[in-house]
Amino acid sequence: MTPFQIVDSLLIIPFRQPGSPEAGLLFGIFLLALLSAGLGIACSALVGRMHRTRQLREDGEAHKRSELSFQALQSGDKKAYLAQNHLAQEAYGNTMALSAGRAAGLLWPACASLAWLCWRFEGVPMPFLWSSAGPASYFLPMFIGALWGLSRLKRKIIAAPPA
Amino acid sequence: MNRRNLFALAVATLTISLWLGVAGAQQAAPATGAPAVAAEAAKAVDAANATAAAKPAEAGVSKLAAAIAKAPRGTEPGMIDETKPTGFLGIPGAPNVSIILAFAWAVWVGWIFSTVGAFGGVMAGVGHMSVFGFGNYAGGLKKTAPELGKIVTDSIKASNQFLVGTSAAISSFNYLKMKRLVLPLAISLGLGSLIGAYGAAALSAGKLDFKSYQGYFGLFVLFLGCWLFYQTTPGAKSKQKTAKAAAKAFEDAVKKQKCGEKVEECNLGLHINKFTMSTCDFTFYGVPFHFNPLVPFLGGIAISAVAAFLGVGGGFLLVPFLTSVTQLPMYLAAGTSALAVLVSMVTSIITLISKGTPIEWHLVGIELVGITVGSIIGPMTSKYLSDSLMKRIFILLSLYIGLGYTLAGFAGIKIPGV
Repeated sequence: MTPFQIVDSLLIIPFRQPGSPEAGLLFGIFLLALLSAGLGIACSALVGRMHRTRQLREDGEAHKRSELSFQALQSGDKKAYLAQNHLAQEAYGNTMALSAGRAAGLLWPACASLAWLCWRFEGVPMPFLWSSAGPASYFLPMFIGALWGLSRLKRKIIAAPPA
Repeated sequence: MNRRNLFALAVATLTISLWLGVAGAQQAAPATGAPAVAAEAAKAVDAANATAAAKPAEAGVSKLAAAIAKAPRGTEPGMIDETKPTGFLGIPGAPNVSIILAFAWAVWVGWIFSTVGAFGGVMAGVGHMSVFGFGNYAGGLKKTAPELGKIVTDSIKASNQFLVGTSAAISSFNYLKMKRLVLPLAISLGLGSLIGAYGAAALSAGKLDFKSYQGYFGLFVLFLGCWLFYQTTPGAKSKQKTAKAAAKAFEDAVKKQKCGEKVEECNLGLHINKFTMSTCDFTFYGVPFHFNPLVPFLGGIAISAVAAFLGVGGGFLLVPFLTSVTQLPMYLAAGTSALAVLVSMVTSIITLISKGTPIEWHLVGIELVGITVGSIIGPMTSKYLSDSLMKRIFILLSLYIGLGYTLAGFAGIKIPGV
């Protein structure tokens, strides 16, 4: 068995669990979306951890410049405001480029799952949807929903006081 | 409606449009590029399960399949050689990129993103066009199978945009979450972005041959290289020094004020005083600002159209545009551009997909893994490299690549390595 066949045989298991094929398909896609979102959040957090020092530096610079620009606004010094704002924008550009790794970490599992789903269910119409709908029609909303739910859960766990 | 609800509504709208767009796309392009033989074998295993869930399917022919069927058969360049294994997008004889090469190149792209900055986006495009050989293949179809060549070009463009745009969208989302959004500006900019991205993607989908795309992409990279080069000239450095000196002078003045003057709460934050078709007046920290909503609207159209046409992100152009035109504080500009970037990227990709442009999700997935790994390695290695040296190397690289692509695209002149 090739590694792909092993992964394929594992991923298809939830699709066969419930009795009805429709329920099996929805359950399988839901689990896959949940798994992709969880893996994506974990990878993104890992990249964020590796970037922490640089991210803090760039974010700190952007924040500092932004705060100074607000103070310049308060004191009515528009020239100083524009200068600080320009420096804040430069720092923001650096944080934006740095986020590419986090974005890639977050999204690669979804792309991999989508590729597998499209390959596995190519040409198979989805239950309860129009004939042209493919597995992505179920997967994408479920993935976005799972990302949202897991992110909220993560925030709650982090915010919770230690027992 | 508060901003939280507005944000939720925007996400819900985008999700539904993405859903509908992908569903529509699957009608137009069911082929995903996976090897047909493997698909048949795998499907046989679960045929009973799949067919039980299935309703009678309409046997629709995808745009890609129709273009492949139309292309001439043979072993000559620009022809479909059916004896060869399927490659990119499932086309027989098309370049078949090895997973290792795709991953290694994406590691390089991720490394650049985390060390040098936005130039990683250019390198993602170079990978698709030159390193993986998709560009040469699409270019070779120009005379024999132009329709197929244009579909391959659109697919390259959509993949580029996916790799580059997601980072801008996700980064901008963080600023959006900070609730720093100028609603009238977001509406005019978002509307402009929607029109620009849709217009550019719809008008160019299936019509742009690879050589033209390569030429325009080259012009963009050349412009980027010239801009980066200008930043290193004494004139630009002097301007930067002046700005930095003004910023430093103010910073020192603030440090000297140790009284810790309290700010009136009512003056904090953003207050919109007037919003009409031609005027938007608002105060921020008590200081009045004014702009014409038509300017961001037109700017949104132009920037999103360029981004969608070239298959690049738009965030790196939108924020400087907003801070220079409206003089908005950086955090407000970044937050406000969030919707515009997201709207532009999603509109462009959905428009391309709904026009029958196939995307190789597994290739995009592998590249995203590579970018993740590269961006982890980047910060570990950057301390050993000089920032200014890196900047100079990438200026030279962008000038060379830009010139090479422009010449190859518009004049048919090839320079080594591009």
